[in-house]
Amino acid sequence: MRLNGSAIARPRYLASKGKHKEQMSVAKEMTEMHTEKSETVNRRAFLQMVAGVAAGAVIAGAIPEIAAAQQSNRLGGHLYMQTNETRNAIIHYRWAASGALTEVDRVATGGAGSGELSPIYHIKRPNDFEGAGSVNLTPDRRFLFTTNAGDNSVSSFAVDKEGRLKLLDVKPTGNPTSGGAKSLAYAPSSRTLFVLHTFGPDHLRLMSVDNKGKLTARPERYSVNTRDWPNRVPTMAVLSPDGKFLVLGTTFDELPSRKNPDGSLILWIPRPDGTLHVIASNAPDPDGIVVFPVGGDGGLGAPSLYDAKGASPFYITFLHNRPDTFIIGYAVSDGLAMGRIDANGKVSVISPLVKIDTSAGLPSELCWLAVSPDDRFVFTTNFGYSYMSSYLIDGNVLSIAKDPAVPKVPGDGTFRAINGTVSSGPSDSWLTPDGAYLYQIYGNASKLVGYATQSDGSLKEITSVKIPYNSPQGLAGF
Amino acid sequence: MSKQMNMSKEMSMSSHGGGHLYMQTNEVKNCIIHYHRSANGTLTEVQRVATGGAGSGTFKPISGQESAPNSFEGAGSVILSPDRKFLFATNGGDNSVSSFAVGDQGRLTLIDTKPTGNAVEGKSGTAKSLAYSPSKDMLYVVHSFGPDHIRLMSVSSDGKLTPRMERYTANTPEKPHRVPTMGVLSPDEKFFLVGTTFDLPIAISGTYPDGSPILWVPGPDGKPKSVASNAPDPDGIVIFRVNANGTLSDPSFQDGGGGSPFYIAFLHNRPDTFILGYAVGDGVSMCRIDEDGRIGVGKVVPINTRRGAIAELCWMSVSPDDRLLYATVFGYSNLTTFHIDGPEIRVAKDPACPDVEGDGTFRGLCGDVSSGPSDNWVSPDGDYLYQIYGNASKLVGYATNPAGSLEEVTSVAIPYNSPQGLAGF
Repeated sequence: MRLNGSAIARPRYLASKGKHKEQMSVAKEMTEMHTEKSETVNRRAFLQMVAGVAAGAVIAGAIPEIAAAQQSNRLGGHLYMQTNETRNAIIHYRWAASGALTEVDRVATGGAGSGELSPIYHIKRPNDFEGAGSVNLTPDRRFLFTTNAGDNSVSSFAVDKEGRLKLLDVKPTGNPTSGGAKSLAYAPSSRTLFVLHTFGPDHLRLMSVDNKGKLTARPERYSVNTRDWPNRVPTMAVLSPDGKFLVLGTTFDELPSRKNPDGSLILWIPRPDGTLHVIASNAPDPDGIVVFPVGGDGGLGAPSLYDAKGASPFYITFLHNRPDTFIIGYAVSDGLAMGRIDANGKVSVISPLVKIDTSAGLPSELCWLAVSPDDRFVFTTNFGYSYMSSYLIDGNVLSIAKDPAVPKVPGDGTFRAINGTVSSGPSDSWLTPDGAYLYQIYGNASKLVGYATQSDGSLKEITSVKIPYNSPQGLAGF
Repeated sequence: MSKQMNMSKEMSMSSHGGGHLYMQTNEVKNCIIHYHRSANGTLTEVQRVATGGAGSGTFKPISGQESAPNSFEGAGSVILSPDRKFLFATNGGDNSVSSFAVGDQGRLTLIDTKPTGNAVEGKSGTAKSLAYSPSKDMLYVVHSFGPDHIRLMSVSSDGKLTPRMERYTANTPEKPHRVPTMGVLSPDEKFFLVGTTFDLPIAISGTYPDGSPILWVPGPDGKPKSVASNAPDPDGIVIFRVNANGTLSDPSFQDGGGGSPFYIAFLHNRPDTFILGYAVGDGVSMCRIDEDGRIGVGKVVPINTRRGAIAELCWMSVSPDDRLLYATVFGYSNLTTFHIDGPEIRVAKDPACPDVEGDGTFRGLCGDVSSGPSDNWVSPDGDYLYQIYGNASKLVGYATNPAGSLEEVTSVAIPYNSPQGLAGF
């Protein structure tokens, strides 16, 4: 974070809490400012910042979430990504108060990633599994979990105070090797880990986590398939904030494995009655969101299928301050809508679907989302366009903030998205707890890029580190 | 490159005084817009002259879209006789051709309008491309839909048209719905060459429920087969020998070397050499035709297709000195230029100009929103290039540059989507 005249504009949502956060971070800032030769910071500014530390500390002690965020902002924090290489590893980065990333460690997961070859598309490409959330931190930050999609296992790590990881356990999910484990959700109350797989029928498997982070695979298995579509592809699983429901996104009703001779995907297939059906989910069959009730022991009840009101409802992320409300990102309908879940787990879409600019081709494959801490901005990762866009949230109204929010990050030219455009295939993103920085994987560019968030919803690149080619996925941190 | 070096006296005159440019509106009540082009490249509309025939309007018969640019997947719907006495234009809506006398100051006077002889089926006919043989006073009229893709008309010395009975097809026994794009005579007028784009038009292959075109259909073996011509069946260029009386012999179907060999442009100074532009093959190649009408096709030189495959590179112009090639990329809303150097072609500028945006309602086959640029025309001195952007309702003029870049110098409003065909002097 620069504090001079060319300072990066702070998001509006930091206007109140952010002020304290900035003040809290003085000690660290001063160290960094020194190293950055930020001679433009004058003495008055310094004194004002020092004075603010005390006030910030009081507030921080009163509100735990803010305290955590301030802690995070003051010292920077830690970010974790899985390489998904055949010999899978977690890369542990330190993110500085300035947003810059420094690799701290690479820790083998003991499991196998898929490497560069996508099991779902059978080619070398980024986003091997059409998934999200493959790296997961427990809310108390004691444990980190990661999928190993190559051998369908999950690894658990202990996280120490310095953010360092220590491998605790690696256990098979119980599915055959072809399953493609790719998304995790964790229920602290029952110490249950929900593991979502690309391929069914047993898309969901469960694991118990003991108090030392050891994993025990459970026998339960659950599917998102329907009678008509036995090869559906879910994308991610997320627990409702009250822990009562596990909500799943989907992207395909049929595997994207059929291709034309030129390599383009066959997207439309005949139904038994001869009519054509796009392989995207919820297009228009009203069954793209799958909701399981969660039992006291973590076991799941029978699923309910809901209309997402758009094609390929890929990503689901709950708002931070409205626990019954979530944002849906549509990979094929090219935008966002807002959803709500009631006490019985019934899902309804409560806003119109707001699209990004799709001039560059259809579909955009808008997939991954990050919501600002104050629930005012959503950042979308547009896989087919090599860039991100941002939306404003105002009550139940979504509107475009910046589209695009960043310049394209080019890949090496070898990968084309479903829309035919050459893309660097950006996938998972992660926003810092203070909302100041967003990190984005560009697999085909071998880059993990960090951006400073701006008050208008745009993103300004501040850091970039080299990562393995194509395969990396999953971001979690604090 | 010194543009002046190869400039003929005629071209020099054109440069000094500017010249004239003609475009058909292809509106339902079709007309030719006559522009004066000044020495600095700017365009001024002089007159609009009704053709007496019907265009297709904004309707696109080739795809069935109610409103889209490039109605017929064709080129060369407006041509001038080499002596500049006559101008001919197709009327795609009612399958007729109009002839005009070109008078002083380039002013047009309608002489005749005659049906090509092909019946109109459905909402519109598809007559779309013309070639004229002065030595035989014969006009060759290409239609999008067959089986009688090519019809002939005799042209009298005073420009009157007489339809003839002959009819020719670009179909093969296995492909009864092919879509040719344009017809062009070899400079020695011995051969009539026809480019193609579809083995099966989208109007027949159809669209998916989301409106996107069906580009792959089950082939004879049940495997997916592209609807594009010459992809990969080696039959995309159709060549007819021209008989002494102007009629055509049986065609030979030859390998175009890439998907949808759309446009054929002979070089000005090498009469056996032409450039092919590929709508689906996304590039150009240099080709030769021998005395027996056999063609040899060079390697396809591709443009950058990062924005999406099937760029729909379709229309081309060659500079007077045969050193620059201008290619219109329908799906990308711009042009790309190539250097021609002896037997070699290489990309000069890609793109050669900024995108010209349309109104956002139209997408090319690659899925990108496009303004659907179609016919282009380069002035005889090579100094200016004019480009129709139908979905932007613009005819844009560019100053050329030896490096291949194009700098916009003029732009005039034209009717929406429908206009096609450019000819001038």
